[in-house]
Amino acid sequence: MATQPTLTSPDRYAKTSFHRKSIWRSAAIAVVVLLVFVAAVIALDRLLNPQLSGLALLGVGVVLAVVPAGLWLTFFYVQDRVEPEPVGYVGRMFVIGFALAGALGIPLTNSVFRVQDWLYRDPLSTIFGSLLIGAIETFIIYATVRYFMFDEAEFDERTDGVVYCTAAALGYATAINLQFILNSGGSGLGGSEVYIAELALAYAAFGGVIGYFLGHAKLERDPIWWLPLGFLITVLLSGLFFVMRGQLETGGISVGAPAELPSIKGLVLAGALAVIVTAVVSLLVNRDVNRALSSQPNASGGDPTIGDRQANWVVVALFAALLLIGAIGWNGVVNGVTAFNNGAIGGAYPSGYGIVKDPAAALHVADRVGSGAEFIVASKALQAGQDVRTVSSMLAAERATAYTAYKLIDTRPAILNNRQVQVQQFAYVDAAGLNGGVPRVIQGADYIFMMNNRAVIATMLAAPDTIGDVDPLFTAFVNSLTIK
Amino acid sequence: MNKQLRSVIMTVGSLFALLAITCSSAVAGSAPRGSALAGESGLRAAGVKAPASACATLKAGDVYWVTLDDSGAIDKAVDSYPDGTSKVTAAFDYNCIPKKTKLAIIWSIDGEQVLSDSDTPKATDKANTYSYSLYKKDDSALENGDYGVEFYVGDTLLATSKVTVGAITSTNVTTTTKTDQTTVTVQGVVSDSRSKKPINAAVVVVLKEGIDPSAWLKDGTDDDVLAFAKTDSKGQFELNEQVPTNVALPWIVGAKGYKTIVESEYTIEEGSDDPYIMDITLQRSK
Repeated sequence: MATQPTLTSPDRYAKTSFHRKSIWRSAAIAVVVLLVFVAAVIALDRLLNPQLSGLALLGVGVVLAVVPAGLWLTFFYVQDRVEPEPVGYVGRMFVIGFALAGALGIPLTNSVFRVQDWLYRDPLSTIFGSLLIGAIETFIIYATVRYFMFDEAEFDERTDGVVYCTAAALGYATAINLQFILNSGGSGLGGSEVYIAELALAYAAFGGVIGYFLGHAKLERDPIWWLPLGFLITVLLSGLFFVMRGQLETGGISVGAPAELPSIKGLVLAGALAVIVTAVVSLLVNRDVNRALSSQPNASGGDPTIGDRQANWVVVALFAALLLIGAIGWNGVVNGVTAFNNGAIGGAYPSGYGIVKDPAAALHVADRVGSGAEFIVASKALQAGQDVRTVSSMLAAERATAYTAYKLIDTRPAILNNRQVQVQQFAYVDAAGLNGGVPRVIQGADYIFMMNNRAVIATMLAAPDTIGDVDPLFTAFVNSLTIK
Repeated sequence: MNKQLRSVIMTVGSLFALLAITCSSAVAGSAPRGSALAGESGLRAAGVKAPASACATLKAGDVYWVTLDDSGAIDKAVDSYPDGTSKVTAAFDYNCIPKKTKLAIIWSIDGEQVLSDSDTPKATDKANTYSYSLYKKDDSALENGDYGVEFYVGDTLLATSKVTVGAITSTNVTTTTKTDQTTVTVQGVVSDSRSKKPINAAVVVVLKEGIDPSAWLKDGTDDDVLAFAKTDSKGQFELNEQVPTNVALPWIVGAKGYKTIVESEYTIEEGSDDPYIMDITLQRSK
């Protein structure tokens, strides 16, 4: 990435920033307008009760996802009236933030680390998960501005960092919001808009914090820890926000008809955060400007961008360290195991699974409030001449009569832990559910071992959409089995 | 300042105009909600439609069972129907009916679904009574058994009840009237707290009295479970066991990708409706 300085000392330091005394007031107005907009969406949703699909859903989804971000950005841009940043540059930050969120940020948090599946499992997982989310999102916002705008000549005021980072952060939030509204199929647009506005305000606040540090770094000769400190503060702020929101927005149980109005606690929290961050950043920028105007420019020799580059590498290293810490926490939560020893059979099952009462099994565990997957270990007495293939066939025959639409998908011999095993995969239909629900398909796999005159059968049952996550856990579970 | 104010007003105005235009066009071109339902088992059904509206939400009272007079109007309420009954009619009182409300009605006999139908009652902002009858095409007698009806608006269960035709089963009448029962059947819907989208495969667990739900989540066994259910694709559930009233019990509701609700003590008050209909919303984890 180019690091050629576009402003050289001492001009760089002579350039200061204009005061923007009423920026906090503007932020408060923006929050109020945003709340009014959200209320209007809720009212329109209740009045029209639109049922959307296809292009209509996409159109409304884009509008509802972009408007809160656009509204907030517009107010910031109007504030920047004395020397406004080029619209193209601001738009570029928004688009790059949006694209990086879609290409890297969201896939990393949602698909690689699958934070949503374990974030609130226990207090420790909440801390690790929040750090992981915060580090990924903050680094993408930081990287968007640091690598695509920082060296531009237009980045010449202290508040420019705030404006550009806010744009990048809102791009990130818009990517999440668009995905959310499309995934929800257009249902509950009013409640969805509360969530969308909440994320837009929160991300704008995160962008404001890291933006202040970047703007300061561009205009000042800062110590090497300055940018990493800003990065860390933003990560912690982000994590704190998500933890607090998790405490406020808990879902709920009610009797009878569903609540008519969506909860706005998270939105109020995000709005307060955005106003407070904007006010604090505004105060800090004005203080910095006053200091710069009242003192001599620092005209010491040397390339002032060297410090920025070094600090940038520290930020990258810090990001890598946080990612590593988050990954260790993720591994501990997701791949943690609980040991068991049931006489002849021992091993370790995933720690999030609970024991199911099953007299016919040596062990039966289930991920009750997660994937719903079940692992079962049972043994079966063998008669003369029977082997694992016979047991496999017997199991298939038994299940074909016990389950609806039972189908054997594959059966084959394999070697596991130096033991010969028969592996078979199957599927059947579970008709459970009330009227109107679609019956569920259950997919499973057996590993059948020989043990003296008995066959030990390790079975996995899971929904097809979770099989990709469950299968590695089951493989580890089967590998852990020890048979005496 | 004036210039700034003007630009702000214009921006906000434009955004609202854009939103209104998009929403209006989307509504005009959208497909009606609910799946197409068809009659089954030689049974037919007819709705007695209530009489348009500023109404926002349809709220239904308890379902009660009635007989009709010759003009098709409600004659009287009944607790059960005798042998040879040719028509059963379920009714509920409502506050109002919003525009384009589509009701789905599902009938079952002895737990087996026999008829699904949909109805779009005329919008009204006045309270009235909605009724729906089940009868055979040839007006012959209905089979004896436990008849159940469920009324849905979209995916949300609005009201439900059961009644017996003929004196054949243990539960002579199961209506939504308040009684001194000690246990209730618990049904409901689990949905996303924001989008209201039903959540498939969510788990509802009621633990035995005194069990610590947080500890159970970490290392619990089935011995501690009093009642259990998993939602279907419509987010609906019915607990596999009846739940005692007036007892503070630990409840857990969870689903993949959602924050688990852990209620250490949730009490169903004595005299509550049976079935006890719950609306549960889960918050996305992230």
